[in-house]
Amino acid sequence: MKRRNFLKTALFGGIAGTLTFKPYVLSAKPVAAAAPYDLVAVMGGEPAAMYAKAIESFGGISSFVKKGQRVVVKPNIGWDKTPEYAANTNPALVAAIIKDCLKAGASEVVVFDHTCDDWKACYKNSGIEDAVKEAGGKMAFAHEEKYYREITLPGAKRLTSTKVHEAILNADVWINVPILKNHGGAKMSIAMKNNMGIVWDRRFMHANDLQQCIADSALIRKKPALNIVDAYRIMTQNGPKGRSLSDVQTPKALFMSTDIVAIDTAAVSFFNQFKKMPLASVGHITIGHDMKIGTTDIDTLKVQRIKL
Amino acid sequence: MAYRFLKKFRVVLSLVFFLLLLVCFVDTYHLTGQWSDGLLKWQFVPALLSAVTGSVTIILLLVLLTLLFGRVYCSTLCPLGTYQDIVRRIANWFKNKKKRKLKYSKPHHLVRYLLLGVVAVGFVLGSSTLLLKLDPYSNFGRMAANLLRPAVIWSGNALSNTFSAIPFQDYKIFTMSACLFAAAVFIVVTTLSALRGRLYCNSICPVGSLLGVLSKYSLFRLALNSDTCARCMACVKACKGQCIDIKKQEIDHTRCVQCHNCTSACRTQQSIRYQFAYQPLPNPPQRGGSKYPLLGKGEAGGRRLFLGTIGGIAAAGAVRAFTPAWRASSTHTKAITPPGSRGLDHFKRHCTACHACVAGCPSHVLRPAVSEYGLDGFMMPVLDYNKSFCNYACNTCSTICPNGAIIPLSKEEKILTQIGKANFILDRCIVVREETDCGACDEHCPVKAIRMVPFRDGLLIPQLDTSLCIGCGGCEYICPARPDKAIQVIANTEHQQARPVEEDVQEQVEVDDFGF
Repeated sequence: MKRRNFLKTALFGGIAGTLTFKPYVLSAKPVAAAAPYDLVAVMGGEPAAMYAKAIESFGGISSFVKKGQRVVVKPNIGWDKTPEYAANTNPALVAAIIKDCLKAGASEVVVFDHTCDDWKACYKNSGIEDAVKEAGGKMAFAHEEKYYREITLPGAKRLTSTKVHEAILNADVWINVPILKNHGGAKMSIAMKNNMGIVWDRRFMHANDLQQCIADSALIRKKPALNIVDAYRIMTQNGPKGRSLSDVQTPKALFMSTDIVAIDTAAVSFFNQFKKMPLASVGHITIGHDMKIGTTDIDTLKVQRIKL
Repeated sequence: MAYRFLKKFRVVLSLVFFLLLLVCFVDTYHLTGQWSDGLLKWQFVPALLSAVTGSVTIILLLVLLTLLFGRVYCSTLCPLGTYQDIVRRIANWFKNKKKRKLKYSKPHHLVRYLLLGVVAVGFVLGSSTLLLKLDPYSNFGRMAANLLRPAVIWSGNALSNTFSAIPFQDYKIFTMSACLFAAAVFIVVTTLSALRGRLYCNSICPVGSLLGVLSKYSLFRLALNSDTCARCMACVKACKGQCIDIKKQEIDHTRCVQCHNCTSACRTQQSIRYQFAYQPLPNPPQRGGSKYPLLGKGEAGGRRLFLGTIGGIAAAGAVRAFTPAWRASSTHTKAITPPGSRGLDHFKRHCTACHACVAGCPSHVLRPAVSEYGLDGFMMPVLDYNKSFCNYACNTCSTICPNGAIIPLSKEEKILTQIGKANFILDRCIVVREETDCGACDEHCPVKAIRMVPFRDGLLIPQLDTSLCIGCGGCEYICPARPDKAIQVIANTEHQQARPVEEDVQEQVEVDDFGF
């Protein structure tokens, strides 16, 4: 989409008055006024094609990334697993986002994750390191405390301050790109849970009411401009690490939203078609709603559903 | 000219070996992919120890080499030997000409053979503890791993502030006691070599002493030709072994390390040459003396000695194999030994704590032990789950170990090798104490020996199936419970086989809707 079109849409969107209807949703998104949709769901294509379709509905990546900006793309690279195990975000999706950001004029696109397994093995075997380099992005180190800086989280209940990766703090824009997984501790691992990979001390979160801490982490002042959930392959059991390919389903879907709670809600609903997981049991999502980080009430949102 | 070439050849070869071996210990960024680790197997003590579990070829070749030409090993293959040569070279820059010269010194046979004897007796009885402290290769390894490696890491870290391509590395495995031991050896070896050439090799080193004994019987030996020798002392001044007695026109072959400083220093260019030791004299003396010019009184022929030596080593190995290890069946079950080490007994018998595995471990879970193995296992590598855990499909340490202390495992074998079992202590668990979700242990478990099962109020609690557990320590490492972790791995004194993971087969669901 051209800038002119974007501006038109923005203007139109502003007139349409979405601003007044869902103020707390918009508080979480920097350029939300432009978006004709709050949530876009795509199904039935390859990761890059689904991404292209979804971002089109948001007016293109230039709605979020401006020329010369430093961008961080934050996938889940937590585990030393190859892409078909669905433990990490799909590398093809990561590559497509990076290429798009660079095309929109981003000065650099940095990718990292505070991995759980050995970071070198995770970066390599996830296929993400290679995909990022090929797409023109940069992998950042995230395996040592030195790369993290202390911030405060306004309004947080348990995680009131924590160390967050410097790439996020230095970036102009960041895009949260989790994969949809079942999770033994947090019940589900989607967009809010993906924030644990920007934090240094995860043990603190585990020891101090995990669900509350995950919700608190979404209160970071610099919120992701966009959340993109990779559901090309999903892990429905034994998550978040998984142990065999039988833990994986391949629904070939993708979700995109500026609302981190709404996208998690939508993803859980989608997940329920494969495995039962009541939304109420996924504490951090309902807490996120209660703390007005976003909404679980997706029926009130403008949702676009696309099948390829 | 040929002899000059020999020295140059020796210098180049030893430096190449030295640098390649050094890389095994200080390649903190794993740039070389451990391709030079195979060279570690050519070290004498590793070759000797791995003869039982691996191949006898290398130790036979090393013995054969010594019985042919003497202690070639000490000047070419031994990295501690080359290190001393480098020290001497550098030290000489700071000395005046006179001080650079060495002179003949009397051998310290009592000290060296006593040490050799004690090490050998301990070894035969199944204890590697003395060998561990005296093996030149292992001492080299420990110096490289505990002194040079941290220095490399810390300088890399200093540079990482400027150059973002260099990753910062927390040196998690720094162990003061091992570092101090390495520093002590470093000071002794450096001082001795700076002042006295190869005095360390010729008075303390058990490998030097053993090869020295063998060299007494080698087929080809350097000998002085008293007809051409000008007694100019050029060879004596250059001899690192301080073993040329010009007055008696004799070379002490137990101390000669085949450095060829003498042959290249010889002003006549011909007075020190190899001689076939078993060439009979044309006119053997009638009474007394040997008919072989280089042999002392009553020395036997080479074939008998070669077979004798091999037989002796084999007999020692046999005794060792059937002797219960010194203190293997100890109660030190706290120490978790690396996958591939079979268990405490095998590991203690074969490990000399060279720290090649410690340096090569990608997850830095291996660190030198302090007292985990007991006093005799000081500095042996132990798995420490406080700062890291053992990567699920990683078998790196087993492919590195030159001693056969960690026997190579395929990745398929590794993921079923149970080095310990997790032990879950319910009342320490966050879920019980705080009544909040956690599941950190379940998250890290690669085999799902831990599963989260319903507890109360919608909370899930870990449930442990130790038959699946391989003892990797992922759960213990991540467990946030303090002061005591709620899940801890207890070592298997003998490693076991874990039950293979069964797949939780589920039907592939086709969906046509988003579900919202």
